[in-house]
Amino acid sequence: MKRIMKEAMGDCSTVEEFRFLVRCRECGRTWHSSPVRFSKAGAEPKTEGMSAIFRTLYERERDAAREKAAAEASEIFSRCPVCGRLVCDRCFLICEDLDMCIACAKTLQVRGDIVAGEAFAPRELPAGPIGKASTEESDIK
Amino acid sequence: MLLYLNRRWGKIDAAARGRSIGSRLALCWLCMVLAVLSAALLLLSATGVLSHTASQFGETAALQQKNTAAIFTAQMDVLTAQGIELSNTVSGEVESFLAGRGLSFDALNDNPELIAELEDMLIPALKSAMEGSTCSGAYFCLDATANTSLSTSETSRAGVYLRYSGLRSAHPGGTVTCFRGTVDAARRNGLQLHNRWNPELNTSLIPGYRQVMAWDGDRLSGGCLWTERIPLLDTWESVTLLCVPVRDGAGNVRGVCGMELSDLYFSLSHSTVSGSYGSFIMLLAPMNGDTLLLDKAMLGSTEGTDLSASGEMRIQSGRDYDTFTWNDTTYLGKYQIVPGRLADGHPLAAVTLVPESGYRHQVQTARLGWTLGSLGFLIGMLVLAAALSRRFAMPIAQGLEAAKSCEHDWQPTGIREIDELTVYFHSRLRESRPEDALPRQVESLVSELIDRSKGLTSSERIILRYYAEGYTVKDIPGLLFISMGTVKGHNSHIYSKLGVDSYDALKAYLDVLRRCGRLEELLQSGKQRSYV
Repeated sequence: MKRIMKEAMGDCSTVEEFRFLVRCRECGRTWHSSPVRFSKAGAEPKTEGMSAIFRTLYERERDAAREKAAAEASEIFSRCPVCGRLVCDRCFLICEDLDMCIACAKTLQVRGDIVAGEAFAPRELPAGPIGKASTEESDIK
Repeated sequence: MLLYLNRRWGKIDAAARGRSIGSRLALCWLCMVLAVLSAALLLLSATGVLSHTASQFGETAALQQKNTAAIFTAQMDVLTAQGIELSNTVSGEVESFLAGRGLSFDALNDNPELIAELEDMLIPALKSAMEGSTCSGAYFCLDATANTSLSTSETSRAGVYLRYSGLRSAHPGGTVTCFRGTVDAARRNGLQLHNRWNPELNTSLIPGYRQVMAWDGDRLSGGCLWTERIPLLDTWESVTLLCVPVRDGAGNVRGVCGMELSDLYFSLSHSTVSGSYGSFIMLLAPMNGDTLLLDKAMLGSTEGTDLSASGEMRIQSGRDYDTFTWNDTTYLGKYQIVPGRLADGHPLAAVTLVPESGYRHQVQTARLGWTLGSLGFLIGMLVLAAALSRRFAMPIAQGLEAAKSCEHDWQPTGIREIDELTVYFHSRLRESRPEDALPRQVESLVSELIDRSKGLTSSERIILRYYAEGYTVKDIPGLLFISMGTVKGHNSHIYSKLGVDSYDALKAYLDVLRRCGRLEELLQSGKQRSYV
């Protein structure tokens, strides 16, 4: 799951901090991971060698932040076993036989309970302790 | 342990030694069959089928009748023979008496002295014939009278009629009196005169007299007649007379002689025969169609009954016996025509009968005996069957209790099959229950949990299986590609359906089920669908 999530995540990190996003394929809303500040943010490399070291360090910390962000995203995103899309808990149904996204449920005429919130409630991604969701599209680096 | 094994093997031995359930059943069934038979016996007894009283009475009456007919026939035959002998004697004496004097038979008329002399000569022979016979009297009369000028000379005939007086028993004896005959002849022979004495006989009172006098035959036996019962003149007695012709040398009938059977003598000589059906009465009666003429019959002793020699008795033939009705009184018995001529031409019947009341009493007694015997037998069989059933059922109930209980100190029932079954049950119970078996409360809890798990969906069952395999909640999103929220949603459903309140409680239950070896029952029960 974490691998799928990492593949589906977008990277919106800056020089100062690392941050990732996942977009619900059903409702289109995006989820942003919690920002992780780069340890050497604001520091100017004095030498060319130091600059190379900073780049290497940045890459390492970004991979670690990606891992963390994938774990966070796994808390609220599910992969629909029917269509294979990643959908948020607002768009995923617990059904009798097979859990699936709302779209597939409508197509297959299967009833189920939305994992988070009511089925016809305004669509807002759950505000968890980690990460943040918004309806805006973010640029992916 | 050794003690326990000894006791156990002892019970197995006892089970092997006990009586078979089949033998007990057979005994019980035998009693029931006997009870049913006795019930049928009782029914047959109550209806009188078994007592066979009618046929038995018929046989008894027939036997008695046979004896009666034989007695009557023998008596009549003997008396007839003796009467013929007497006739020959009288004929010879008269013939020689008249020949010696050169007189014809007609010379006796109007000659009292000659008649007296002839009677004097004949009385010893008459007395001798009387004493040698089983009769109550003997007589002879000749076709002559002492005084032809009398108006009654046509029916008054000279002769001698001797009778026993004061009969007390069937054996004739006692004083011989002269009922008819001349005084001189009686006195010369030392005879007392009867208190109703007359010198001559009145032949109008002898029904067969004229027939015998008119008889013309060779053999005297062909001319013999018996009269019906006739009243003896001037007395309270009735008699039956044997009439035998007395012929002269030329073969002409010159008189009649014979024996007398008085009703008293007949009654004394033919007493009742006691039997189980009462006292059998014997009688000798002229028969007119299906009617017995009792007013002309000779009756044996009728002691204990109201039967008397009067009126008529109707006969109704039956299969086993005949029914005789006389004056609204019913008698049962048999009858048989015996050889012998009656003066009036009626056949003579020897009859043996018994009052119906005696027969009915015997029937009721026999039926009561059979009924009581059958009833006793039935009660005995029922009691025996009940006792055997109780003895049979009680060990079975005890055996079942012993089989249901797991106690080791059960008592053998004595029925081999039951004891073997109990031993078998106990051995199976010991085998099926391991030492670390769960307490009964836990067993019921497990069963309830498995029962509840039938409501789980396929997704929930798959998640439950992961938990059973040791995965944690955190592992499920990665395994099923679902969010943690989805997992928590499934968990809440699983908890509510199984009746547990937390993940830790669920894990504890799963552990218990794994220990009982019934985890698969939980995971596989209900609908089984794959998670795609």
